[in-house]
Amino acid sequence: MSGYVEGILVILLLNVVFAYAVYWPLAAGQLNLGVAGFVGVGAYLSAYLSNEYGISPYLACIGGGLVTFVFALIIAVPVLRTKGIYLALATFALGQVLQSLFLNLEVVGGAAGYPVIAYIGLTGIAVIAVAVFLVTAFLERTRFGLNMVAVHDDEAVSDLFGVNVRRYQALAFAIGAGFAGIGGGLYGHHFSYIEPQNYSILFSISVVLFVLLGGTQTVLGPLLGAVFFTLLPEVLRGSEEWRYAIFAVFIIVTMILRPQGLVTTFELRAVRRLFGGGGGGGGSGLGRRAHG
Amino acid sequence: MADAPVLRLDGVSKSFGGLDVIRNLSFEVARGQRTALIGPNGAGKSTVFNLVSGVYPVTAGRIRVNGQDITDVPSRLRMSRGVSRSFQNIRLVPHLSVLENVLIGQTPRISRLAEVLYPVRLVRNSHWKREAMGALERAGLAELAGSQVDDLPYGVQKQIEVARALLGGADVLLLDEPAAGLNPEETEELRERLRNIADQGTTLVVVEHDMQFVGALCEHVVVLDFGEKIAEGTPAEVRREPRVIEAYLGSDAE
Ligand SMILES: Nc1ncnc2c1ncn2[C@@H]1O[C@H](COP(=O)(O)OP(=O)(O)OP(=O)(O)O)[C@@H](O)[C@H]1O
Ligand SMILES: [Mg+2]
Repeated sequence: MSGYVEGILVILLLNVVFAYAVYWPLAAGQLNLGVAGFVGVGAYLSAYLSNEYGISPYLACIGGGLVTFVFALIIAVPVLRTKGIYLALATFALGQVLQSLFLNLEVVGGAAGYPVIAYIGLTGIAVIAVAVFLVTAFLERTRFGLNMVAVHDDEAVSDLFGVNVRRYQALAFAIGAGFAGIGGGLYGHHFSYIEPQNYSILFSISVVLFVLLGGTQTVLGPLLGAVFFTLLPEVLRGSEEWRYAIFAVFIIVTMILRPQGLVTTFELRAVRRLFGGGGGGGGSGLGRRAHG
Repeated sequence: MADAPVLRLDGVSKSFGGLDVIRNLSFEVARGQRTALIGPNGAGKSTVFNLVSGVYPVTAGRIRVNGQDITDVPSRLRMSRGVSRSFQNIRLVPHLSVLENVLIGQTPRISRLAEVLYPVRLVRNSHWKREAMGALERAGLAELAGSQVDDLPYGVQKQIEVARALLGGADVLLLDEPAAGLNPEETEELRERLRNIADQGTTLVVVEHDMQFVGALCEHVVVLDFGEKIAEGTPAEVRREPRVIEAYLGSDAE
């Protein structure tokens, strides 16, 4: 494999991990604009663990993700008191606070950045990215995932049917943060260097953008979004100056034509029907009851 | 608590910012009984359901289910305490299929982590799905299991709500206008089905404007007007009450 292809694949896989970091809170109806902050927490924590204690970089990444998960679970208590646009603003502020924390933490180099000694290559990143996808895809098929859709669509009805809405929202937020943390660890251990500038609002917004582009109704949407977002600029490499402009136009057009994202439940069901399976569990799903 | 009424309201009042919507309302529903809660538009029928299911707190009074005071029990725990409901304005989950919406009805019975993490949307023939399919079959909706709910006619969506409400294992089922949007044959099917449900031991409280439906299904009727109980008794008894006739004359329902 050429270095170029390998480089693209690494970025693609990392984007997949970040996509699911943003997908989880969105699946519960929350927009997290501070995901870069959680990526940073995982990156610094895991780098510190493997640099200072010589822990295996893989364990350090998972550990960093777990700590980020717990941290987000605690942070969720005040942050999730806000709703809608205010929640987005609160997470944005949280991201900014975390970034300035990284800038001022001298143990991990402050503004100068922090070199990471241990290395994780393409294979390691691939294994973890696939695991993140599979965990998400599995959870989405459980009763936890079923209830999460209900929480997203109608909090009041979910509550009446016994779903602890606050707990589901906090868990979605924290699972996303945990994945962000793992992704941050992988990033640091692959590029061997982390610096606070990486964890800016721009980073958060581009991940949100490609997740929305892919669609959040199904578990495949974020994956597709990450693929598009990573590969399209490469495909457009021929027209060097224009490629980002073309890319931006593509995004705007997609958002106008398909505000619900590229893949939705509808397409997924159509595909399942095509392959003869009733993913819904029974019936062709096509018949309508005659009604007078 | 075998002799306690399944549902009992004692002096329940509710006001919204000074507007008294329910005033000192008391009634009992005996186990296995089919009760109707009727009254003109705006009488407060849906509000009674909202108070019993905990959507709003009461302003005064007590609500008991199976003899236990649930007035201060959080809404989330009330279905597992025995009251389930459907909604006047359809509240299905639009991003779930018909079958998955019915699966949501089982949530009040789920408590163990293993059940929460059970891949109910992946396993084809689980007992959860079989149970939900059974409920759909009885409602004549089996062939719609995989459909998206918001494509379906209003009356069908109402029946999915009833099926969902049934699976929570509740002792008393509050149904808010379950026959709305149904044609005469479908209304009759629904009535038969509700009768079967009651025969199997579930107590029914039904809000319904169709008086023929009420007369044919219910043994007991509570009549509300401006948030007050103005009559109570068998369908034949309340129909003779002068106050009921008066309340209904000035309104659009018969
Ligand atoms: N959340 C609320 N805030 C303010 N007023 C309310 C609220 N809910 C209900 N009301 C008022 O309470 C009164 C009773 O409403 P409710 O919906 O219980 O009537 P209803 O008997 O179910 O009527 P319908 O037959 O039209 O469904 C109405 O005047 C309504 O405007
Ligand atoms: Mg009503």
